[in-house]
Amino acid sequence: MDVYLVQRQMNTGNRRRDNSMGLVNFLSKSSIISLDAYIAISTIVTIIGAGSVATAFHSQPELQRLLEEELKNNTRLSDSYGLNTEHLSTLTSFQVVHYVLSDSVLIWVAINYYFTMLAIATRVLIKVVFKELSRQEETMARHAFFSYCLLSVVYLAVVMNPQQSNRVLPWMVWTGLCGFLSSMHFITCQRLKYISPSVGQGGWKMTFLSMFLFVVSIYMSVLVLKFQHHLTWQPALLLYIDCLLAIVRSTYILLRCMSSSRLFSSRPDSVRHFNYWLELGTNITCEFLQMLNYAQLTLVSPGLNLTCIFFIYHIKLTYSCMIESLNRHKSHKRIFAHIETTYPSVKCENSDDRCVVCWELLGESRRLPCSHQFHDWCLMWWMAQDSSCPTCRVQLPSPLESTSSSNINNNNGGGLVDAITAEQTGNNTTFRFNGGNFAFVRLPPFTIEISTGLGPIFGQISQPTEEQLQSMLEQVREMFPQMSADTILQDLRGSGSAQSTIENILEGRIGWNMTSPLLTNVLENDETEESETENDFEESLETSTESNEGRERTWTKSESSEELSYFEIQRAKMIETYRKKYLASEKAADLREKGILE
Amino acid sequence: MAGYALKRLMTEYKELTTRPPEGIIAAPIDEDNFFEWECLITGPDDTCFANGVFPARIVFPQDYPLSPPKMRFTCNIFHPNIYADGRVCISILHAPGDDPTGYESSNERWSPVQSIEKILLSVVSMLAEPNDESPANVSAAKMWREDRQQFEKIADSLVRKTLCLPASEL
Repeated sequence: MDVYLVQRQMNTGNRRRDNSMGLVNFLSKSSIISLDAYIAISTIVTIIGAGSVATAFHSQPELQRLLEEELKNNTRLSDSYGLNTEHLSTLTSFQVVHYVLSDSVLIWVAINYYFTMLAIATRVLIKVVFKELSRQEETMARHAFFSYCLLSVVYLAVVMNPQQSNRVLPWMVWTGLCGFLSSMHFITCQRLKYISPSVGQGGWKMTFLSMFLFVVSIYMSVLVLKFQHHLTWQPALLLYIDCLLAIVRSTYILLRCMSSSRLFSSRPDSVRHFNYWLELGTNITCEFLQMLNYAQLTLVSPGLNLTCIFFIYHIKLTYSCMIESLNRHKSHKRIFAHIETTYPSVKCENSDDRCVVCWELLGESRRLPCSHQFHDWCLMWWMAQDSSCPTCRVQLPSPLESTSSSNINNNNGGGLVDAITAEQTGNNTTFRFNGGNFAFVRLPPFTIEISTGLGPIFGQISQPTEEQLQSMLEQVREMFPQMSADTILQDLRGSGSAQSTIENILEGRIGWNMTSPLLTNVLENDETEESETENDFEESLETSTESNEGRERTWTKSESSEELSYFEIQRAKMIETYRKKYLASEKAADLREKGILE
Repeated sequence: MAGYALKRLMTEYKELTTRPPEGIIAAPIDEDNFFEWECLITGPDDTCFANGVFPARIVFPQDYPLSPPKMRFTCNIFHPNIYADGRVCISILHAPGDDPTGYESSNERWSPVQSIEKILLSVVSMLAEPNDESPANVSAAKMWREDRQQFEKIADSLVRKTLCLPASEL
């Protein structure tokens, strides 16, 4: 039963502890709760549960008869769902289901089993469609899942009446499904946004996945419609918003897959236009739906309490996201208009000239005064960050000059972002709402002071444990093996996440000791290390001679399964060549004296 | 620039493998992730880094080529324009708008015209001609200016290290 308890904690208990975004951040960044570990433990729990059911049925033959009686007399099943209880009650599988549902422990095992199935489905889908997820995508998926779960837990615990606790079961089933869908959506969107599927090999897999997601979300909506009359307006609204969100995202993915298929590859410009508008539309619709969701939750939550702040914070977040994407769109539109009016669109004289930004054939494109040519979109994205010609760096009239004034306005418009501020001093957290315009409503300023550490709401992560630090350290060391563990650990303690430490290292924010042991190491003559590397090198030389055909290697994916990659073969060759050259040079006089010639 | 980074990186890879430039190798670490590359550059002839084979890593942002990649040597290297941790400080890798050293004009900064090959060639020429105006490694810059002989000695020991040759007796 211990395993079972652990299981339950992982499933729901952890998320119940704190109603804050900090928890979501923390959970999505921590590597302790891994999906594989969860699947493994759950499988054991499920087997134990199934075993106990089987023994119960075997050891007590009268149990089956009792269950049959019970099912026959259950009027709720036949009345409200129109099921034929006469026939069903004789089926063993139905009896098992009934037995499990009526047992307070087994029911949780069943729910957990359901979550495990979803987890396995996620794993398999990701493996088949995307192969490997990058760390960023993984974090995003975790974040999407956990924030959805957090919302549901808050909703179940606070907003719903405690008397309705018998309805927890269907809610958990629903939550699992939505959480699964939303993380799949996030990963797929991320992939589609930065990597067009027509390029990779997995284009058709992506299309299948998008169809699957679409069908699931449609099915969900049908389910809600079917059971509508069992629900009051408020949970129904919540379910509908969930469905709508799923449908909107699935449609986006489906359309995006279609637009990047070969069918439309002859008209890249219209595809770019279409994708841009599709993304903008989807973003704003999703944000709006979420805002609506949080707004209605705020209204129905009983009284003014902490949950209200949680919901208001989310309303604020979604609202500012919406405003931000609108503003970005405004500035893009302005740049586009500027490009269209200022630079003439000309057909490229040389048919195989390429755009320096995307390296695609130029065709119809814009000509700058310096006579360099670019695609409309390439020029637009570049102009959004710099106002010079990418090729010759000649300064062009900036379209952003006129937008800079609108940026100031934007700040006023999205003022709610700054309106709620949180200050944390020691254990006291002060929420200061500065008032301001929120859509059409003017809100008065107010301040709330809370004496427990509620800082995590605003993204501050609690101090990671030693264990987490070690696992994060490994992550970082994987990328930067040459860095000392102490330096990384020191930064990890401050940043609290591997992701930001990696960023810190790349940006060079980590304090580097100028008189580091690096230099002294270099000058030391370490015999043992030298002989080791010598051996390594010999080995790599041998392997490189074996695979001399590496140069003829064509650029195809199937050959990546070779034991040595193109890079490794080339490296061995290069070191060999330059070693010979070095030994022949006058610098290597002392080596030649020692007799090292090869 | 959404969705076009991968396409361009693939084109660059194709270009680099079909027409490999002299003394430069670059390839994605994993062909499923084109946003992280490893590369090798060789020290230019007739300099203290001549014949050295220096490994480095390049990490590309998702909006490449609008934003510059980040490059870092994964071996020990002692050079005025390379931080002690291996990060390369070269103006073409700085995004337009940010200027960490205050010595560059905007037309030396990143532009989509740059490519992996051009970046690596620039780094090779940087190895040959350090810019001690805006040093990333102050002690290296100081030594380069004041004690060229010692600098060359260190450079030579680094070169030997990359070639797996025993160091000379100092």
